[in-house]
This record gives sequence, structure tokens and C-alpha cells, in this order.
Amino acid sequence: MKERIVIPAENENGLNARLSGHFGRAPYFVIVDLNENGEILNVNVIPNTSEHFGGVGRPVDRILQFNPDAVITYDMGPRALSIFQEARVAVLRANANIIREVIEAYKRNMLEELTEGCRRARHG
Amino acid sequence: MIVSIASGKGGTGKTSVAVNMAISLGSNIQLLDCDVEEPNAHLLLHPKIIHEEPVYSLVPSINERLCDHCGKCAKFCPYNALFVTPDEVLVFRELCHGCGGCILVCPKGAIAEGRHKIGKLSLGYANSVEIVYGELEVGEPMATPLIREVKRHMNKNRNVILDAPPGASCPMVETVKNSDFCILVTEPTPFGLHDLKVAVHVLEDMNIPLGVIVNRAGIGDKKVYEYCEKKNIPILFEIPYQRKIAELYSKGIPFSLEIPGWKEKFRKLFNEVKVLAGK
Amino acid sequence: MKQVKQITILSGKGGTGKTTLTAAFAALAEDAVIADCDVDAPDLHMLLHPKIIEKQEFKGSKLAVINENKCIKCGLCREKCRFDAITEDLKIDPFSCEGCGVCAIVCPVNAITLTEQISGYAYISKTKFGFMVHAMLNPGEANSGKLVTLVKQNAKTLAENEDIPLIIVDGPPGIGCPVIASIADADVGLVISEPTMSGIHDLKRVILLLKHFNIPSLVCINMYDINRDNTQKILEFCRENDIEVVGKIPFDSKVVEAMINGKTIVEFSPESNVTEEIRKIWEKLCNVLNLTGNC
Repeated sequence: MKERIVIPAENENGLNARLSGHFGRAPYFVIVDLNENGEILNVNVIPNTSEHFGGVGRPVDRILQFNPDAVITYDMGPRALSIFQEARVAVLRANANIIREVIEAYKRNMLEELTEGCRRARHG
Repeated sequence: MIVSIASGKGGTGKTSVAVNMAISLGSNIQLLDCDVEEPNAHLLLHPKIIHEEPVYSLVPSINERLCDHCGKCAKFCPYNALFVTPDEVLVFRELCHGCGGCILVCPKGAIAEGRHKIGKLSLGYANSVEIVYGELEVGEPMATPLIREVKRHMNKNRNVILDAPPGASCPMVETVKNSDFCILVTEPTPFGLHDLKVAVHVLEDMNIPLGVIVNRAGIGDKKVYEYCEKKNIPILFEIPYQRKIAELYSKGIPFSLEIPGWKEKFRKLFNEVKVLAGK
Repeated sequence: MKQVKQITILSGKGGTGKTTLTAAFAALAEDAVIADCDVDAPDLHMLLHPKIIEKQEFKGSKLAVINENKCIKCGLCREKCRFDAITEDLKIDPFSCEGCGVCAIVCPVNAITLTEQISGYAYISKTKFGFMVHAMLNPGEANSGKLVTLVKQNAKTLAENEDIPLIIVDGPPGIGCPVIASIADADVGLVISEPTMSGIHDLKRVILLLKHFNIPSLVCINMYDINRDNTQKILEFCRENDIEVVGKIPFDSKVVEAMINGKTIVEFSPESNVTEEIRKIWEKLCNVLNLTGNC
């Protein structure tokens, strides 16, 4: 099954971008599509800026517009977390600093679920 | 002549002035309510509506059979309204500003102009005043395309009064653009003065001649008057703070209909504006 | 884990008293970040007197620039511009240009470029009541919604770093994109209404907006005694729609006096009926937000 993973990033460098410390305020989101074999099909970068986040009001709603299967991040506010959970999007805790590395970890099922919204951002 | 009525600060009495002026002039007048987010002029004018139409804005419509997912449209789009991968194209219509660029850059001609309803436009009459107003759909973020549509119904054979939205950003700018004169309605308070200055700045940048009406005169201080004198801005008119005027407004009744003398004052005001505008 | 709560104060109609009330809440709140999201015409600073700690440039939009030397006057740019931003004599109207770049791509001689503009500034400040974030859009600029979003982000970062449990947002009038940006992520929207026909009409639209974004609403009626019939209408409407009315504030000329003196009504006239009613409203808000320690 194809999978779409969304990861907040500090810059536009796609797979080589650094993860952003805070989900909601990340300047960019990297959208990675994997095929059944876990191979990367495409990588897109979208800026996390908008007058109104696409008319939906919040980054979490904007990301849901892309129909993700999973989000990988260091942490996330409890509100956004519960919205993703309700939408059956897996929210996983990032264990590395670079997009390429967390995608590898994801493919190997090495990432844990993020279960609690945490206020303090970790800066890697 | 085209006169716009703006303010900077909300709630200063723009709509009241616009409607009272329109009904005082009686004939050959058209009122365009460009405060499409919260249109109020019709609540004071009580027109008989004879025509309503939905208003649409452009959104790209992708023909999947012609599209080869090259992604040029998404690359161009300055508003991130398009997202393209080898197997899907997503259009985020709330982000689309309707520039039409995607249609131009698509090498396969796979994008057509689709439309999306953003609100509705109504036209009506109250005696000989013609009113056109727009009402933005709740949840729609952008007022400007609807304001443009309201203004497209401008009838230059009539004297036109434009009721602007509050603020000094693009909905207000879109409304006052190309008017012969702009009347700024303010109240003599610190908030009123502060926001008036912002509005004056905009009009000066746009080279639109202006004058000020002080509404609720008597409730605050003299600073608004001192500012206008210093800047040589004509104070065209004062509407005193009177309980009766406030009461009539709250009931949806234009006060010039009930309190004698005002119709004549508004007519004189309009003629003075004509002179100042060079018309 | 604590989560920063957010309340946005809005009205639909302008002039109902959002800023006056926000300032009063700032004076009553023990621990809150105040965010002035009326970026077109901000007024809150006149009551709270912020000292600016940080200033950020806001680059909201681009502007097309035509290189006259290269221009061959074909007029294709004007033909394709959907915003009527190119005049008959082929000059860019900066008040209409949306910076979309269509003119730049259709120009056969590449005479048009897009330049980024500084459209305004965002500020992080300190007041005697605590932190305040605010902004000023340059007169006539576009993208006020984007600047509102920046102010909100500043507020969130500040609240998280400083361990402050509440953000109070003074929203702009209307229901368009700056308002949508100001209510994003709010726990509750407090609508300040006035008992006039226009006020009732606009109240209904802003309530619809809050519903559209799944944000619970509370209503407060300001200057309720100027038309008791209309006040009844508002109460009925709220009853029918299951919306709690958290207070009815009487009209009082002291409100303007306080404004002229650059003070919140709470400081200027602590014993007045207005202040008493605002205190009661504030207590109710704290309860709704589960912030009983903050009152």
C-alpha cells in the first residue's frame, strides 16, 4: 500500500532538510510518498504559511487536506494530536534530525507513537 | 460623481452617512454596499430586492485525462493552491486568488476555469435609490473578489455612493479605488483619531481627495479637529451625539427621515463634495 | 501537560467594544499574553502602552515592476492581469497588484520582475500587565491575514517559553481572512454585540463563522440599555441557539473618558457598573476555560 508521510521541516531541502523543533510553527512541511516496497515515489515541500492556512484555520487541518497516513515530529500540541488521532493519522516521535533518516526509521518500524502533547519543543 | 465613505475604525457611522445621504438626494442615486463581510446598508434602507445572483470566483479545474502531472502549475502558483504528485493533483480553492497563471503555464491545456461560489449579490430599490450589495459566504476568506463584482454593477449615469468596509487594507482599498472623493467618518475619540490617520494615509497615497465627517460629536475630545486643521483636511459635517439619533439607528431607521433639517444638510454636503472633487 | 488556552474577542460589526473589553481583561488577568490582531487599525496600545522589545519585518507580498527600457508596449500584461493592476499607459498600480506573477510570465521580452515588499511590522512588547504582541500593516497593504497569523505565532511561542497559560486575542471586525486567522486554534470566541439592527445581523454571521470552524461561542451584549427590545432579541437568539450570554454591559460615558485618559476602564473607574459587569464576565470566562487560578 502506498503511504504518505508528512514531516515538519526547517528548510526546503526535501529529504535533506532538518526537522523543525515545533510542529505548528515549522516553516515547511515535507510530504513523502512511499510505494508498497517502501521506495520513495516523490517528495514535495509545502510552506507552512498562509493567510488562513488554506481557509481551514490551522496547520493540522491544512495537513489533513493532503490525506497523510502518518506524521513524524519531535512533539505536537495536544489539540493537534487528538485531531490527527481522530482522523486515524499515525503520529510518530522523530528519532533523528534529518528527514531522510526518519523516513528510514519509519520504514523499519523503529518509531514510537507520540502519545502526549508536549509544550516544550526540542531543538536538535 | 463617485463618492466613497470609509473610516479606518469600525462602527463610526459610515453606513448611516451613506444611507442618509442617499435618501436625502432622492433621485438618480446608486448606493453600493461594499462591506461584503457585514453588509448593513440594506438594513437601514429597506429596499425591495428585485434581483439576486450567486457570485463565483475562479478556481482551476484539472482535466485528469490531459494532465500528465508535470507539476508546472504547482511550481508557478504563488499561493500554494496546487499540489501535484505523479498520481494526484490537489486543488486548495481557499488559497486560490484567481490569477489564472496555472491555466497559462500548463503545457497540456489541462486546466480550465472552474468556479466556486463565494457569496451573493443583491439589487433593489428604495424609492428612487438603487442599491447593490454583496454578501460574502460565511467561511470564505477573501472579500475583494466580491467587492470587485459589486463595483462592476456601478451605474455611472447615476451619482454613486460606495459604503466601504472598516479598516485600511485591501477590501477598503478596493472599494475606494477610482472614487472622485472619499468621505472619512470618524468619532472624536483617541481610537477614532488613530484609525482616521491610517485611512488618511491610504487616501493620500492613492491621490483621492478627502474630507471628514465627525460623528457622535461631543463625546470625546478636540484632537480630531486639531489634526484635521493641521493637515488642512476639510471637516465637512458634524453629527452630534444625540440619544434620538442613536435610538433610530438601533431600530434600523435612517435619522434624516425622522429628524427635520437633516435631509437639507446632507444635500448641501453632497454639493460641497462635488465642488471639492472638481465636479 | 499544560496547554496554552486561547480566547478570541470578536464582533462582526465594528465599534462594539472589542478593544475596550480586551484591555479590561488584560488589567484583570493575572497571567496572560495579549495579542492585538486588528493589524489594519490597532488601538489596544493606546490603553496598554506597550514597550517594544522586538520588532520583526513582515514581508507579506510581492509587487510587479516593469523595466521601462525593455518594455515594448505590447500590452499583453494588461490583457492577462486579472486584478486590473496595469494601467492603460502600462504602469503597475501598486494598490491593485497582487504579486501573482502572471504578467512576468506572459511578457515576451521578460521586462517584468517581482519584488518582495515589506508590508508591515510585528512587535513583541511588555506592558504593566504582562506581555503583548501586536503588529501594524502598512496602510493600504494586502495580506492582513498573514500578519495576524504571525502575531498569533508570536503569542504562542511567548506563552510556551514563559509558561503563560492564556492568550487573549483582540480580533478584527468582519468575517474574512484576518478574522479567520484570529480565531484559528481558539478555545472559545467571545462575541461582543450591540443591540442595534445592524449589530444583530452581524452577530448572527460571526456566530455562523465560529460554528463553521467548530469553535464554541459566548456572547456579551455591550451598551445593552440603549435598546432593550433589541437586547431581548439577542437574548432570544442566543437561547434558541444554545449560546451562553456571559454578560450585559450598560452604556457609560466613562468608557470614552477612560480612553481619552489612556486607561483601561478597570483602572479609570473601578467602582463603576461597567467595571463590575466586566469583572463578572471575566470570572465566567475563567471558569469556561478552566483557569480558576488565573482570575
